[in-house]
Amino acid sequence: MIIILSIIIALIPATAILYPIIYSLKEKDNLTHDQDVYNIKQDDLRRISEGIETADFDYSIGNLSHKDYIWIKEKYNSEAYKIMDLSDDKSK
Amino acid sequence: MVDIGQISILIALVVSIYCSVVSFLGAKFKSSELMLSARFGLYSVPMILLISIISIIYAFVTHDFSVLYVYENSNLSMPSAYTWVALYAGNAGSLLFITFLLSILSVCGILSIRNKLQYALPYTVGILSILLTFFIFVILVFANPFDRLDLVPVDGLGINPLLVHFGMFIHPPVQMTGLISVSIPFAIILGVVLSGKGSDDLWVDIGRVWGMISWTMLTIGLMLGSWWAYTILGWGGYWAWDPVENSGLMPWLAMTAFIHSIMVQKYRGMFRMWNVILVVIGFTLAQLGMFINRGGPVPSVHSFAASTLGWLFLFFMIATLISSVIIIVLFRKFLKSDRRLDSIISKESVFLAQNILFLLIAFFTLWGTIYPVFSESVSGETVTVGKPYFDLVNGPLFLGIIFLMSIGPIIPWRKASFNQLFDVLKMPGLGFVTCLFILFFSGIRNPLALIGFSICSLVIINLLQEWIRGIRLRHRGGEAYFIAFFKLLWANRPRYGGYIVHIGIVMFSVGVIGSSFYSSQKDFSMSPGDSNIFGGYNFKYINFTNENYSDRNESIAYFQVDSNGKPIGVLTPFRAFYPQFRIAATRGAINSTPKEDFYIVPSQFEDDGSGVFRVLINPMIWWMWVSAPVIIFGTLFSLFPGRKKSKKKSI
Repeated sequence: MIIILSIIIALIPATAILYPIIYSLKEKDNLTHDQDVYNIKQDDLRRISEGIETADFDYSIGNLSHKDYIWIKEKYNSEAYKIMDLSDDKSK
Repeated sequence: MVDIGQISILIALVVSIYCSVVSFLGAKFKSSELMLSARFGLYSVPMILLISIISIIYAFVTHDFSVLYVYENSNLSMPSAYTWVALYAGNAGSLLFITFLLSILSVCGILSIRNKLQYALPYTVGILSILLTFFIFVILVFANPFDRLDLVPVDGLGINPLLVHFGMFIHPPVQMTGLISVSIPFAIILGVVLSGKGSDDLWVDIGRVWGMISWTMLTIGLMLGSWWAYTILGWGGYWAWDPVENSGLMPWLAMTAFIHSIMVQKYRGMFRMWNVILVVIGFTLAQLGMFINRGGPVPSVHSFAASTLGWLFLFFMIATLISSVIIIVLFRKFLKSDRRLDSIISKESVFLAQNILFLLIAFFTLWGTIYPVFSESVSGETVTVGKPYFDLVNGPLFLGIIFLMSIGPIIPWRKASFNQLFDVLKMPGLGFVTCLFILFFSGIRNPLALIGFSICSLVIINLLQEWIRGIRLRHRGGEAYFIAFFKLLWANRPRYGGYIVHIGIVMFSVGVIGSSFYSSQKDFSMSPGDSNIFGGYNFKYINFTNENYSDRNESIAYFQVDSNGKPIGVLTPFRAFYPQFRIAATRGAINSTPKEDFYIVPSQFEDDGSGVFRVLINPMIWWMWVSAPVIIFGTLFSLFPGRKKSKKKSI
């Protein structure tokens, strides 16, 4: 009885382990290099966009002076241009 | 059934070893089949370990004393509910339980990165499989809960009486989950580093979520542990800087630093390497906890005294630490950030300063914890470091953190000016000074307590000011105040969820400061019929009863308590003696209010009911326990997922 139960238990991982090998399953490669680069750029742009939103909010509630607000916005904008330029260069 | 459990562990070991090896091989040879095979194999481990868990619980519930572990941790007279959780009452069973938790969390961790961090998958699977292999190997070879006895005893030794408490159902599993869950962000982040993609920050959100899960579990675990100690151990306190308590606190400190620091990476793309180092420190400190808890050289009331497994965990901790350092050094070029601090007055700087304070507290706590071992090896004399050291060193550092907590939320990212900061801090600063004066003239003269309470008020006023300004802004846009309040919170959940957590931390701090500086206690020798007054409370010893149970004798005292003439009710502290364990457990009776706790506990009882009773007045402890749900709510709120923006919108 124990032997039968042990075999049944061992069958769980055996099936899981062997299934991809027997059926030559491939990892669904949803990240090509280009997509990967695209995602990173997206992430950088997302960061900039959130940064500007936060700066807008901080300025509106008075945590940020006008001078600092303009400075921060310019910084974010120049970073965004840099990323866009890089993307354009790559696509060319 | 027990044999099935044993065989399951053996199968789990084989599968874990297979996954460890094959996952890395798959990554090296870029074999999709091998990577998937290892991943699917890892998915099966929780199922196999579940069979072991069910087997051992079955042995407990059916009182199968042929199993050594069941014999050592249960008996026929123990409450039946506890037979279900006696699994983690001892060393071997708790290891099995931790391993099971690790396997479940590993599967959750893998599923969470399956799509977004595909490149890190084989390495993360490999790292988690190595961890599982180590734990299962230790169980199988050194602490097997399925070991049998040659002769089957009629009854077992029973569970440690101190564990027979409602807390047993929650505190150990939550604390263990907290400690072991640090492995998940560790494995994910090191997996990303090993894949050579550390330079992109796509892992930040997942790393943050797992960091917060670990942090939340550790927070709940520590809070429950403190509450358990306060209600059951009968000494009137909740934190003794015991080595095992410290070993739960240290990873919490590292993870607190991490969940703040990772926000800098999320919003500014900085501190990449620092975050990897923080998570490695957190993981190492969690391993250190295992070492101390499992028979390390530092004496503790919590540790499994009979266990000598500590050294294995120390070896594993050193091995993982060295491997992590090597990985960080080899892949350091991917972890460098090209961004620099724009200004000293910025949110980034506050986070950095706060990180340093957290790590300093962790370091001083570690030093105090291992000092007995150090002193013994140097001078041959064991010198233990007690509460005064920890309070003296860590107290001011914690105050520093609370101060940073007050200014952190109002300082913007990147840059702010002194003038603006001064302007924003005017009102809260006024509140701070007012609070200082009010407290001073109401009799609080201890400088640390004065500053502590006032800084807490500074945090709250700052947060309220932030909220009010945000609500006004939305109100100007046409929203009613009530709606504006909720929409403001909902619009930026990480920010306002964090503020709610900060409010919880302030509540907790108020409890700690109040109870640390203004607790008072006195021993009273009393017989039935006697009355006494202490701290504005009038308590009358009405009666006592003796009750004999199969495993213990209980002496219960009945006290009628009034507070300044206002009746509170009857409190029943008791003392139980467990002859089999030769342990006396005293339980205090507590009347808890936001202002203070009245805590009465018997020190000793005579046959005629006369005895010595210790009475404590612990101010503001109530706030500590109430802070827990606030902190949990804030964390969940900040983690609550929002609707995903469309790609167009996000650009």
